Amino acid sequence: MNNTDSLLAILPVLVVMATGMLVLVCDACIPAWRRARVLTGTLSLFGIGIAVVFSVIEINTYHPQTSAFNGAVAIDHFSQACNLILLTTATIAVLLALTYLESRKLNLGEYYALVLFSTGGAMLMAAAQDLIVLFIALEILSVALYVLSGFARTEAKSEEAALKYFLLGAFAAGFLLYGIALIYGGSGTETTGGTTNLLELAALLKSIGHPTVMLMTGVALLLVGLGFKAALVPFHMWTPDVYEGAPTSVTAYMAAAAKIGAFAALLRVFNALTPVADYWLIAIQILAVLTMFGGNILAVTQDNVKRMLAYSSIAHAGYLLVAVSAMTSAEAHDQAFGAAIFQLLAYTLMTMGAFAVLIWLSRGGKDYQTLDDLKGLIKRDPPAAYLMLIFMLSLGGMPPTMGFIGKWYLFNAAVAAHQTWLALALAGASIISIAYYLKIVWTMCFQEPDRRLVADRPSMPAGVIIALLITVSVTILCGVVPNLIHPLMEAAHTVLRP
Amino acid sequence: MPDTQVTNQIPNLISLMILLPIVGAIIVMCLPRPRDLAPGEATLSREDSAMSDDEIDYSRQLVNGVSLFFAGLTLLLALLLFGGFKGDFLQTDALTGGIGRGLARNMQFVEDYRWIAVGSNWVHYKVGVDGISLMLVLLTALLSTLSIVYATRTRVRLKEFMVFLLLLEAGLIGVFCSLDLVLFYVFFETVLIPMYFLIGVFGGPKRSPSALKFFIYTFAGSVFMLVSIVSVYQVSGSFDLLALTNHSTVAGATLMSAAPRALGLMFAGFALAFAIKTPIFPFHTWLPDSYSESPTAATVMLGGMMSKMGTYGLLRFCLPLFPQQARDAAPLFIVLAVVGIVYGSLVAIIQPDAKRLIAYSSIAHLGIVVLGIFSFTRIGMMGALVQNISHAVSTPMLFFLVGMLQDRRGSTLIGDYGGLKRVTPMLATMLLIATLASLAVPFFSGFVGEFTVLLGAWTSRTVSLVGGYWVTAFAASTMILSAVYMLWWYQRLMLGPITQEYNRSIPDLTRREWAVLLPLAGLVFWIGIGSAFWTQRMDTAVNAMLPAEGGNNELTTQLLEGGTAGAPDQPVGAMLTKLYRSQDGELSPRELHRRQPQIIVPIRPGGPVGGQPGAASGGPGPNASAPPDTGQLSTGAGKPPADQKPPVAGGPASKPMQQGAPIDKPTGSVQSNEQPNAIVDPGPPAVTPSAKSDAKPETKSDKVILDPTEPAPVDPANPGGATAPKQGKSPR
Repeated sequence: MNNTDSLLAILPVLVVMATGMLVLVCDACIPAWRRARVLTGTLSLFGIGIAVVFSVIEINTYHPQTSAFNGAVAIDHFSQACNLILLTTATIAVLLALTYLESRKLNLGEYYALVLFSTGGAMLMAAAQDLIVLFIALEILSVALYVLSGFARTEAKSEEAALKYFLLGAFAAGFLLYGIALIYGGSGTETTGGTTNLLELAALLKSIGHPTVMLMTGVALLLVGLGFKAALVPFHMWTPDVYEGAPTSVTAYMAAAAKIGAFAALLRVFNALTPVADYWLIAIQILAVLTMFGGNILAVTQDNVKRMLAYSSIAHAGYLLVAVSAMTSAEAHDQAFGAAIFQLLAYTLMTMGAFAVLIWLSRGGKDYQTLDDLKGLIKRDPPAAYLMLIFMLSLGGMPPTMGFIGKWYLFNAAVAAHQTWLALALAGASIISIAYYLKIVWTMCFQEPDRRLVADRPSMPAGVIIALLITVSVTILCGVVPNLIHPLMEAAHTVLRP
Repeated sequence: MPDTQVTNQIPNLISLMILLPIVGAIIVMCLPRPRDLAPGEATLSREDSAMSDDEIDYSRQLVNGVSLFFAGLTLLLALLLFGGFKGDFLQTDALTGGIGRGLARNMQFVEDYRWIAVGSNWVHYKVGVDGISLMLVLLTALLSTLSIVYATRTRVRLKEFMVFLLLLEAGLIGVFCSLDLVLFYVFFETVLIPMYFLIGVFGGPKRSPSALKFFIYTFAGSVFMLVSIVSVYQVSGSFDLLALTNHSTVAGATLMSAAPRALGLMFAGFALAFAIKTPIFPFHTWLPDSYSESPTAATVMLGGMMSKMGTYGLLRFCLPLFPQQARDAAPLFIVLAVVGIVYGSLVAIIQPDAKRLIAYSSIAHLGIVVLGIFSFTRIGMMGALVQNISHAVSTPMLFFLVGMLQDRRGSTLIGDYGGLKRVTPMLATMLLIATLASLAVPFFSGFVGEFTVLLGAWTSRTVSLVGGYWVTAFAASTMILSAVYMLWWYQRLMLGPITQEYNRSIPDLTRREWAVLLPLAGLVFWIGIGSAFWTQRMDTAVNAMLPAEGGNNELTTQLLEGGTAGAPDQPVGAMLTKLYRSQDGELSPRELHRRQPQIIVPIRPGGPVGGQPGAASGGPGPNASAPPDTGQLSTGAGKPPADQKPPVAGGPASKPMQQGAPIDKPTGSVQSNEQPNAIVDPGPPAVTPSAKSDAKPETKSDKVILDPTEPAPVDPANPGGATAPKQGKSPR
């Protein structure tokens, strides 16, 4: 594949990036136009739509295991499936922002540009087959997210979140880079240089069978770096603060996009490291258990819904690690990848849906985010309460929703990989999680509304309603007929086991 | 000749029954919200009197009417299902062309569609009913309709109440019809949601903690069941219950031959979920709170049908999927059931709250069901099923009546009532019927079930090995204890002087309440007097687990004590006397019990058993307390030492012909070889020569004489031939 072909191959990423730049230019050129947000927002949606079309075309035209840029970028169906999920995420993030930003006096075109940039970064991250590309993609994703989390410039909380995220993120990026360097050094021999290409690394590890200490140190540091992005316990400290401080539409986007990117990378990198799975598998499993239980236990005591959802997203990262762990087994490899893709999509829709309900409820520049704000919601605003109810039940893994099917696929993968104990841990963690999801349901449905909030009825912004319709309908529909997204799961099977 | 053809079936009848309430719920959700009523409005005294036009809240009537229409339509379909069901129907086996095997034998109205792709396999949307689920489906439809009739006077949030009741009905019907493990789990979990809201939104003062407790408790149990379901799939490659319980299919055979340890864990996952749902004794703590805090209509569904999800699950999943593990765990379940029976009854006596009293009595009654199931006798299982449906009729009736009292007086405390018989004679009569039904008086529904379960437990070797006949004796104490608490309850509520002035003016039953109570009262008598009508429909389904009918070979051998297979056809007197008979006739019953069941072996005049090789093995073996082998004791009684004839390795995993093969050796025994599968029948433990036999196939086991050389299917965990069968004292 020559360079032109390679550029064509990453066309969805390029389209998203180009749209971001175009949005910036548009926003700068017509600053006085009062309806600028509609222009930038619509333009973003348009760009995302084109990227979706290109992704679908590439799925149908390219060989399932295509590589571009001399093997540095994988254009396989797995990356295309991640692209589609990420583009959905971006669509929802844009839809949520249309009126929310205005209500919080943050009506700036940069938002859309930054969302698009970070989406492009995450898409590249899912396709990265070379650790250097992975690092670049991660930085594109992260830098945009740092800015986004500080988007509410006038609020101290938002600024604190951005700074915290940036400092810790930069630190984690250092770990990641150093890990890559060690892997490069550790994979080399006296005669040949090392490699950062995952395919070459996998072939090398398969032939030598056991890694050098330097290489494994590099892998450990890489895990720390990616674990920070994915918010695994004990690298999760930033998550609740950043989620709470950032504007809600940013939180919704960040919760989904960063996790998809990080887990796509985790799956791809550790898939390449499967030949030496004996050395790192236990670390992943310990992290999985810590993350599942840590996230869920800490969530129980929260009384801020955004923080609670932050811990819930940490717990879901733990569930997804089960797929990473199961992936190492030959017979469960494909199932684990399919389960991860399904669970990523389910998590994206459920979490973004829950944040969308919070955005719906927020008005007059004030965020609704504590449990007290949700008291008696079913009497004040029944549709919002029912939607929140569905998302909570889905996050808790109750049928007939996507959350249940996702967990069921994870169970399948873990048991197929003969890691039944991990499935049992997942089951135990789910039981704890039900407690706080029900706490939200309980507050909404069984408690009397706070008197001062009774008369407060929110407006119904069209963007939020469309976003909610997308999330809730897919959550229910794919819970009842999960086969609808079976092609997406099959696409994930194209990442071959080395 | 049993039917093998089903004609005139409405296509997709079961799916329609699941869908209709959901459609109804969606329509009700879209209706205009009725005005909430103040506490003083719409009192009972005004209910039967005509209201003027401006008094009628049409949106309220619309909600009631639509809900009732859909529930009634579902009930109609359930009756069609009941009518179209053929009790003696035997399914044709798709593979062999013969009679279906395993649970498939009696399965009717089966629908099968692909649902979720898992690798190269599929999770199916597969539903169907056999005799066991049929009753529960019918009762679900009936109780839902009655609950909706009762709930029409709910004061606040009527619309939501109806929506949740309809969703609950759909979920319950789904639970009782699912033939795919994942589909079953989906329904099993889904019913939690409407019930959680029924308790949490409409319940009593402590509703929130009760609802949370209910949800988390049951969720905790069922999540591990999901892991078990997935494990079953990973072992066998199928989620299809009918395939998994049919050991002539690949899936069934692989499951059967899986590692016993793994199977044990899978069984534990299932059993925990059902034990919590039922609930069995140490897992019962959610029950009294949930029962007493939920609104009447929800309590009816909770006590009437949701508790049946547990017992149904035990019978439908735990036993057929893991026969050997169920056997191993049987002593535990029997002990817990008996503890639950005694504990529930004793605690019920001192309850000051009427709803809590019924809740604890439910624990006792459900303990009886569990005891019947784990007696592994045909009669015990049949009794458990009858007790199941009887409890699903009498408990809802009691809850309805308590709810009616609560509507009148605003209290469920027994102390607030007294002497109501004079004020409300009709209500008192209905309460008497329900009380007597719960108390198991002959001619009332409770009697048939409890008596047959106790009979089954008495004849069951599994039960008697746990603690001899004391177990049954303790279980039977429920008859006395329930008389204590139920009669005392009735006395304090209805008899004596009127202690509270307020009670003098409460109204008697209204037309709506009659409509709720009469069907249940009718069923109480119908089950109590005409129980054959119900049992004959369940007969084939229970027999599907019986070896004598060419049924499910290994499964049935392990599951049922062959000796009691023919029990229902024997006169009760003969069954009781045979328990005290032995060859030498000198041992006391106590001694008999101590040494049984080796002693209780077929008595035949001039029987050839005496000449068996290895018959003179030692006294009660060192592993006399090992429960796993109890099922095979009668076969092991005359078993030769292991060095002579080691048992087939893998025991339950082996093919039926392997197990049955040795029976062809000339032993002089009279064999019933018409049914090739009957040869694995371990035979009756003690069949007197006088025991009558008739033409029914299962009674042939009366004549089956054990081949003492037949290797017993041994516990796979303990395959050593020397220790697996109990080397008991041979009487000969």
